[in-house]
Amino acid sequence: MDYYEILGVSKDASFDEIKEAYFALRKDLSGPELDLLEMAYRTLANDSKRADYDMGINSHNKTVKIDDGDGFREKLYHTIDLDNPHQEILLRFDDKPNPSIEEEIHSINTYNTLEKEAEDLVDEEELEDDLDFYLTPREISRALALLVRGDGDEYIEGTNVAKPRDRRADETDEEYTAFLEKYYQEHFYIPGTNILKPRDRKANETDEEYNNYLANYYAIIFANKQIQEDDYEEDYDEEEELLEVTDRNRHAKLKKVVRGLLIAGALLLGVLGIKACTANDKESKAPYGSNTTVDEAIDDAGNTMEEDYSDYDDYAEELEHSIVNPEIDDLPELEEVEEDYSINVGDKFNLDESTLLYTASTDQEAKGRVNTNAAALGEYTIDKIVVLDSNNNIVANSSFGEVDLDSYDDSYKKMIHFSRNVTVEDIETGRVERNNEKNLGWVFLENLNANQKIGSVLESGKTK
Amino acid sequence: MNLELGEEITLNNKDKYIVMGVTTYADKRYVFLMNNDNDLVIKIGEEVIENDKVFVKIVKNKKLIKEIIEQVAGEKISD
Repeated sequence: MDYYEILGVSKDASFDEIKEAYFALRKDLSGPELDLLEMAYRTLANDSKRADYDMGINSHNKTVKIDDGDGFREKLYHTIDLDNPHQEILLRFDDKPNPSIEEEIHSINTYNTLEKEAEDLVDEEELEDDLDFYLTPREISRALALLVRGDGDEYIEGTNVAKPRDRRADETDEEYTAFLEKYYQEHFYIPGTNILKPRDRKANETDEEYNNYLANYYAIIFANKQIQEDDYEEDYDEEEELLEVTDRNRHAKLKKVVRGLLIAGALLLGVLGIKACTANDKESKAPYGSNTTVDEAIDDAGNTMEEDYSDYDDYAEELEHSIVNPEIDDLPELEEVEEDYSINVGDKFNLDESTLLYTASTDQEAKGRVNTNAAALGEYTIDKIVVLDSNNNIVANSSFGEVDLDSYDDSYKKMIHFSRNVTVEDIETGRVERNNEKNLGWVFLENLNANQKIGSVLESGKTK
Repeated sequence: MNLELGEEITLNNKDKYIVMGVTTYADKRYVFLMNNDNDLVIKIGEEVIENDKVFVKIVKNKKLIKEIIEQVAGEKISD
């Protein structure tokens, strides 16, 4: 059931008709039904949201294979576009392909209950174990809250993070502070870590500048992490030695850096997982305060740069239990890109490193797991190409015929919808290892021309 | 002449590193180096150019490491 059906209007209904239908219906509804009606109204009453919604309506329900522990099962996902047209978020509903309104409401209720349970759970890891690769209940309600809240002054300045809710009447200062702490932790830190997310790309920043920033940022974070991991001597007075650079290879370039970062990231998450498990047993101070990244690093820091890695073997052994594919050689080799490459529906490609960073660096990242997945290397298939004008009106959609990207200049936004159909060994911090198939959403390719590469082409599908 | 992001370098004909990051602090240029065999050993080194040769001085001063890290991590907070 789509939003038009909920409001009982036709697909080409005017704003006035939608408004009228909304006010007529809302008198008789309450609770989740009313929520759903409001969601429908807020989407359709806003031109740009409506355009996004119309665009996504064809792929409204998606079936995704999920390993739920007993093997792969097909699960139905319900997709909702957030206020940003480049966001798409997957919500898991019941297994039926076309849920009725009652079933959708049931799903929302289920997740509300789950969310409450989740808050009561002392061991949050247990929860994540169950719900990993779905959005957690909290993420879902956050997504819904975003939808319902609509746009306006609802975001923390300079971010795409929604402002936290106000203090409730029945809430003590302590409770509200705890809520805020948790809220900021969830939004500003890389999940499960005490590492701040890098900032978003600035408007006047080029891809290269932003990629450099990211490389620096992660390098520093990892250096920081390394400092925490190593033993050190408090006072290090030894004279620093000048080491000559005897050989240089400028062609190694970013490809290796990115790979390094991926590996480092994988290792880091593994380490954090282990640390988090052990930290729970101690009454240590909260790991996620503001400025923690720097301060804790430095407090624990030391001379990491010593050449003594006597504990390294133990450390590596420990990591092996939690990390899948720690060897760099196991990463897929990227192939060269053909120069005359153009994009077509049905093409298969590997994300290249620059796309990888670009994708992970747009404001998609802050909005959750779906986008985090976009940072993974892998094989993708282009499902759809859509071109939007500056008002976010769809001017071309490959679902309705061929799209010639050449005929749209930079004032148009070009988006590809791609799916990933590859089985990956995923990294579970701690103990679990399992295979998952993931499905990815929109990638926004603002600067993409028809002949620009998006990655290494594996196989070209249809021709133009 | 300067070391660049992504470069693979060898120090004293022995240890290979990749330049993972470059930053300037107090008018000096620092590089973040990762072992080329990806064993997660990361060092911060000061780039020193003398007589047309490039040297790297590994930073071992805790306070300086703090300041360099703060500089970049701080950029995030102020933004």
